[in-house]
Amino acid sequence: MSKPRAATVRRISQGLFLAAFLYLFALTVWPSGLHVPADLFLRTDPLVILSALLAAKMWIVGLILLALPVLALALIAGRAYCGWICPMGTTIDVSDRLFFRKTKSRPITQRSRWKYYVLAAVFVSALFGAQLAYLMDPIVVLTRTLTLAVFGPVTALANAVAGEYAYLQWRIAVLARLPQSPQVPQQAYFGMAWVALAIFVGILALGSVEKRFWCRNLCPLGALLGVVSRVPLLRRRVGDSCTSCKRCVRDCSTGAIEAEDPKTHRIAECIQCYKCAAVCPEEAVRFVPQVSLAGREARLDLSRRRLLAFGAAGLGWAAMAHTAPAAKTTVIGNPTASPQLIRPPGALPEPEFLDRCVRCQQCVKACPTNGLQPALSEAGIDGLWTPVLVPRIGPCSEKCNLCTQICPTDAIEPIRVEDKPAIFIGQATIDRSSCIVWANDKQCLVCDEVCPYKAVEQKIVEGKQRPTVNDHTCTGCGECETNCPVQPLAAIRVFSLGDRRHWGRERQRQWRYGMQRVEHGQ
Amino acid sequence: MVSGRKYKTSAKDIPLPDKIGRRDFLRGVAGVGAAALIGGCAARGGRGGGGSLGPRLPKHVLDAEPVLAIASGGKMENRLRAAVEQLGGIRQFVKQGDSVVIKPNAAWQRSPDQAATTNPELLAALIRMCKSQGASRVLVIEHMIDTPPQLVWDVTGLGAAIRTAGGEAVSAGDQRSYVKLNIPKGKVLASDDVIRDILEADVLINVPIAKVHDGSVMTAAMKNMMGVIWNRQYWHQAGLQQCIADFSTAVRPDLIILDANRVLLTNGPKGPGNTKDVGEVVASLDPVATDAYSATLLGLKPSEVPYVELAHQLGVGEMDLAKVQMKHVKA
Repeated sequence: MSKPRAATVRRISQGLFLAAFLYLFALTVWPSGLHVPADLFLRTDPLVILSALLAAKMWIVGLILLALPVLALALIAGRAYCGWICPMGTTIDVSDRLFFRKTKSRPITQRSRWKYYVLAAVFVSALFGAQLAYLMDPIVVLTRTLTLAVFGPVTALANAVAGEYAYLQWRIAVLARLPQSPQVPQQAYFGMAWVALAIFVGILALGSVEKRFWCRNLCPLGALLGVVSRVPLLRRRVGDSCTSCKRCVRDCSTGAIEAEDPKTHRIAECIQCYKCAAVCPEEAVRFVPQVSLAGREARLDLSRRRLLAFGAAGLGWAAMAHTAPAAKTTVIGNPTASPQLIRPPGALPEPEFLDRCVRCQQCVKACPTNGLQPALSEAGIDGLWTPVLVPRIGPCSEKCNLCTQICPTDAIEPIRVEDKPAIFIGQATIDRSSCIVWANDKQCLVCDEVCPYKAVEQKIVEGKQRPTVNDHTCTGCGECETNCPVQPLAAIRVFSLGDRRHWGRERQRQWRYGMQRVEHGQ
Repeated sequence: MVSGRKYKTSAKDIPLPDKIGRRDFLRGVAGVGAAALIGGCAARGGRGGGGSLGPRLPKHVLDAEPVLAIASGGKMENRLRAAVEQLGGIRQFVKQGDSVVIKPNAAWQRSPDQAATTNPELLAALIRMCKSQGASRVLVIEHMIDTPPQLVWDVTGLGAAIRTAGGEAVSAGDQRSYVKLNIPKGKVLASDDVIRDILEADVLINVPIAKVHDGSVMTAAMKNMMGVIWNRQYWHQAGLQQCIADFSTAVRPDLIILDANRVLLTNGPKGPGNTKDVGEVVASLDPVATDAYSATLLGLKPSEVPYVELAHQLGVGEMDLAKVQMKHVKA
């Protein structure tokens, strides 16, 4: 294979993987009819899986197995994942080329150590039970940005244009002969969209400092792959025909090649992009299999002091996270902090959920009623961006279990639609002072009408029919709160008081279907 | 060494633009245009279609004596045909090239056997009937209660039925597809926002299912039309019974096909509850008579359903079944 073609093949590979990523993202809609796991990129991301499992101290073989191929690839071909596969890396490459054409690829700087310190903080924090990968894992960052800052605005624009077109067709007779606008997806509304966009734009803007700034200096996934791949099978070797012209030094994507000696490079920084091979006028650069120690080339040059400092920071984060009011639970295990903390069905009990949830927003994207929203402070600072059901926006639809199917770390465990009547995510309560039946004697039974589980029951109180909630059948799905005519606060509202995740499935079933005796205690 | 170099900029280094290039100009124009488009769209986002329309009443002249055509037995397709034939056949209602709009009950995520939504077989038969009569389009429209719409179309079986029969399923979840309708005869409702396609249809057919209703005692023809307005919540606050009656004075379908194949006797309107297989399809032009009859199927007296009486008082139709010509037929 001639050398320039290796770089071309790499670009095609990058394009295909980015396309696959976007296609899978687009697939996370109802009806899913999923034949491929839509969360494949997240499930195979070793940083996401390892840090989530380490935080929760749950070693689930099925989850780890899927993340192994990427680690295995690192053992064979170094950080080829970064150069050939990572959709974030590809996005940065495209952005660098479009907006920062004049920015030079610079030799390596002290900054390249930062990512290892970030990685240290992530793992120490996870060791002490607080998952931190969600802040900076590239796949998570990209998925989150796509959901909150791209998908939402795209649906808004599509709806605006389609609505305007229909209006013009109605008002202007000539246009009525044109075809109708196609059905566009329902408009989605998301909190935190601006924050997600700002972070993403910030990452791309770093390209003005040096090319692939993020990948070189900050990305903890790149750091993890770098640490694993210090002695890879496939290594760069420079032949004797090298004239030290240093063109490879100038063009290296990550500044991995030593300026003083272009024959050597830092393996952990090399993303196997083959640019050096492509630009070498002597065709002296080759990537060949080698089984030997790498010596100096394998070094990371980390400062022990910094490493310890960042490790301590991770420890501090974990400790701080555990002091959030949301981390305090009642005797029955419910979080005490927020009465409005309604988790999707199948969510693990709160502490494990916080450890496992990587805040990728796949569930938020998938929710067909738009009711799932990224949390700001409902679950404490440690619960930033975790999914919360906001029933006023949309309920948890009775016949849907999509969010439970696409959670990469199974923080929301897969459930069957048939099991939903016995999965209690909250409980509705009626505010008698604002309910128009209780307070104004109006005829309104919307909550009763819409309740999928017949949990709103009519009682005769002082000779009048009044709605009440049955706590054994109300699952907290929020259909009643969504549809309640009282504005702006519904007169029937779902609170986390009926959240029975910590009970486990069997005991919830007993609660729902009234088995003979209820197992009590741990 | 490159890394040691310091980059300095001064005002001298920055070239001043001596003219605005074509590319810059186009970029600016495109930017302003896009902003105006988006701004314009957003600014109009909250309005209805603009303007208002008067009541939507049937084109054909009503008979002096209301008729209920009640068909039973046979296959669904034949049952429907037998009932409609008693009113003169579908040719009386649908002409070549007409656009037909059907309002089923497709509010809930419930399967057909639970009798909370219109029977898909019946709806498909009706669509085919209209199509064979030369209808240009058959739209099936619902402002659903359960979400998401796709799930409701799927679970009710209506989506597949409509598709295979050649109709188009529309869930009216966008406020911009609603226009203001004046209701001159309304007692508490002077106007309301209604799906535009409903008001502009050449032929409007209401295909309700008979169910008890915890909120309004019963739902059949008149209550089903609540699914074409934007703000249902307001009716509950203003007085549900009177609103249903008021609205029936202003939007009157050309034909009503009542699905009484299986009716819901408890836990209505969503169920699941006890059902009864009645096995009837009722065709009529009179919503009040249809609802009065539907009440009897559910074990109620017509007078026990307040809006039937209120609509009768407003002159919408006849609630006294003794004054209604009942044509029973076997398919």
